[in-house]
Amino acid sequence: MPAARSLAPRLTPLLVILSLVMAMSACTARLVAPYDEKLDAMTSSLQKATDAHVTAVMDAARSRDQAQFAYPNFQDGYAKLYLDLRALKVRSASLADNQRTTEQVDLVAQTLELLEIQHLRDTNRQVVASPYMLEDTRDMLNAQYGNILTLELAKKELRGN
Amino acid sequence: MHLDVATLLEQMLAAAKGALQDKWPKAQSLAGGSLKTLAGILVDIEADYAAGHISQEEAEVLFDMYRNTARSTLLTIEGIGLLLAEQAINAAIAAVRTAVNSALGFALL
Repeated sequence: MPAARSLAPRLTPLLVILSLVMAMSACTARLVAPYDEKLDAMTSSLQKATDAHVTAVMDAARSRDQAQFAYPNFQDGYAKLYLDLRALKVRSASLADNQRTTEQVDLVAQTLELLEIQHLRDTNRQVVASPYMLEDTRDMLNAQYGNILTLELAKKELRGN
Repeated sequence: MHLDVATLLEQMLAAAKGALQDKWPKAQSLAGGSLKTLAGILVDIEADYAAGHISQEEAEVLFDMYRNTARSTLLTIEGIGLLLAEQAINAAIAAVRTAVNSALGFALL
């Protein structure tokens, strides 16, 4: 018994390491979801659609024509983007260990919502937004989509698949 | 005082480097562009406000959006850090695979 007691503290770390190793699928560690070609394609497509939407709002703002800039003209465009963002979120969340990308999709939706609220506020006050504000918004949305793609492509590059 | 992309980028790179330590060179090659974009956007917002191109209210909305963008960039850097840690773990497992499997008499690793 004393021998068994003295062995126990030495075996515990080994058992922990062994359990961790065995828990790893196919004995390789995977801390982040695998590269997903579909998610990559959906993100690229959504980036283009979002860029086109914000550019259309910006063109309307440049015209300084309140009727052209008014929120109702763009309401369907916002709704379509939210629908596609929800589809992207579902795809992302369906992959294990993909919480970062899922949160990044949420951040894009939140940023779009900030734009939509401001657009509605401007319309109610019968003013037109600054095209500079819209250009900065477009840059940030593109940067956020770029972040999602950078992480996705890093999975591919670092794992060599 | 006007913001400068180079100074901002230098500060951001230093912070990211400290967090990722020895994994930094590879992470920088993958995420350096995202950090540069992030620094550039902040400079643009500040310049637009200073020039009177955007109102204070618009600047505040843009800053809320900027917080989202910065968080998104940090998530990419964090993910790349995990991918690099994963590579290190797998290299360590591969280094002892033959010895462990031979000693046990079956393919554990």
